[in-house]
Amino acid sequence: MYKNFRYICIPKTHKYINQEMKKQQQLYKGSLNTIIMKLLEQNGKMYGYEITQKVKEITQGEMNITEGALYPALHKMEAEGFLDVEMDRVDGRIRKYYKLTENGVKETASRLEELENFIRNMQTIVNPNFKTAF
Amino acid sequence: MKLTDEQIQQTDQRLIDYGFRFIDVRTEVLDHLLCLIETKEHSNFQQAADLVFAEQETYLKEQKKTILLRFISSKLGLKDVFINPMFVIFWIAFYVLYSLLPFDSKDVLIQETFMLPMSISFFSFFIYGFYFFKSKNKSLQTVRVLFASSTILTLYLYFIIPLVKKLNNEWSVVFISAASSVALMMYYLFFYYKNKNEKKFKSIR
Repeated sequence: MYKNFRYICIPKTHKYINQEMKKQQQLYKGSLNTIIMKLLEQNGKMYGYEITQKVKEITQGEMNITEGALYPALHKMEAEGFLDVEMDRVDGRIRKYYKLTENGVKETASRLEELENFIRNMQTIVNPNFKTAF
Repeated sequence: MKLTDEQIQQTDQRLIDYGFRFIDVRTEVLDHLLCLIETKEHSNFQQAADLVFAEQETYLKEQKKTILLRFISSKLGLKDVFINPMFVIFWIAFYVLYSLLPFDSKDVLIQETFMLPMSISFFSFFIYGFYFFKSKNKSLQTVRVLFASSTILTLYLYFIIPLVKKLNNEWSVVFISAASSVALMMYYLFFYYKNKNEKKFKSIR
């Protein structure tokens, strides 16, 4: 699943010109919420920094979620009722954990399906001979 | 690098000085920055903190800009006002009080009282203003109830008052009492959420 995200996000070491990077960033932005939701579905509850590190780890450093994109996305999903917040004291400070609500779980399934369809369709158009894993 | 309580306090103060005066926003930014400081391989905390603040300048500026946007885009908080049982208690109390007032007729009562909700709420704006500009640990939720209550009162001022004047007397008193209750809720909810949030953050700290 995550391997396919590489087709829609910016590889960290790529030497694209700025304009092209911006275009690709738009593609990546559209899937950010789905990526976050998928991670929360797998890991239960997570905090912001943990999400950025997890994405880096899974994609072996090829994908980098910036703080500027992550937190507004988390806050928006929280306001929409897809995420719930839990606060704990960890290492002398308060840590804000995010977890999926019941609606969030349903939304994750629906968004993942949409994303998989999107990737499949893009692959069919871009590379008709390429067979997707799902 | 494992951070001490003093170093955490220093970073927190630095964020307050930077303009993060909403505790519910600052808590998350603080934890994120501390995570980054901990990963730096500096033995000197100050150097690591300076480096992280410099690296995260864009993020911090963006976060600061989004505080008001987050506040505006969050739900209006009408639920905070109407679901609280104190709203109904105040409503009934005002209805009884207005009904007991020694006026010759209900018409005179309505003429004399329809602007009362606006007068009752007047001083709450000073309280919220003082809290908004002075508090270093204010929460978005506390300020949100000001917007919810003042929106209801604005609706009352522009739409309900003309209706109140047209309705029969009993219903007019019911509406004036409800608006007065909302006005009083502006004070009540301020202290209610202020205490609630302080307790919540104190219990975790």
